[in-house]
Amino acid sequence: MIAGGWSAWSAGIGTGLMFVGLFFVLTAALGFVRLPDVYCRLHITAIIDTIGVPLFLIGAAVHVGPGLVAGKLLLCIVFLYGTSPLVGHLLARAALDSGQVPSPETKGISHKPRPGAKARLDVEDGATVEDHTATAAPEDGGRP
Amino acid sequence: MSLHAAALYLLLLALLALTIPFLWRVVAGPTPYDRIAGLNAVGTLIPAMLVILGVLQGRVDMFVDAALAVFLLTLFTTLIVARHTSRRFLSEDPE
Repeated sequence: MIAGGWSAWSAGIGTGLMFVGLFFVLTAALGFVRLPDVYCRLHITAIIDTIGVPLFLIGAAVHVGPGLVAGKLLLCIVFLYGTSPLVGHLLARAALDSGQVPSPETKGISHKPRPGAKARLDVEDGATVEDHTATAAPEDGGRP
Repeated sequence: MSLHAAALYLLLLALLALTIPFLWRVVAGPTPYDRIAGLNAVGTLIPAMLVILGVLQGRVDMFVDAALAVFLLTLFTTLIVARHTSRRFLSEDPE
């Protein structure tokens, strides 16, 4: 099944697509550890759902060849594309409602908390910067 | 073991190793949303591993159903936990 599938090149192309997907998952893992605040991290996890895991599923579909199983794998991809924005939006909105402000390293956006929420920036070492907006970068070109 | 099987085992081990950064963020994440996002990412990588196992054993037709089930479980877990930790849905903060 693995070697000599439905076509001469199917196994090689499928495994190659999976390695490309592994590169994107690796990028997402690196960014998830290294990026400074919760919004950046939610941003980088989206590439797993968008291109990382779908490339694995497409690779498996190339392995098995056209048929019902490949259709189910493509259905998984459609499902991922539908649910990934849902989860990202819900988590980002929950973080915004709880008063998380972006890291001061993020340029070009507003660093004010949501109205009615207390500004807080949870950072790596367990400390919480409560009054982060006083030291935030000047907002040039940011949202009003 | 053929070259393709070795490559697929390598992919499987690499994905298994790549869950470690996300699980580290689940443990050490400063906000609850980091933890939820890390769990969501791990729950998205597990079906990919299942599909690779299916290719290795030549039984993708069986494993793809399990992968779809894990996708659904991850989605509902993430949605429910995110709603429970969101202040918008708590009674102390009607908005």
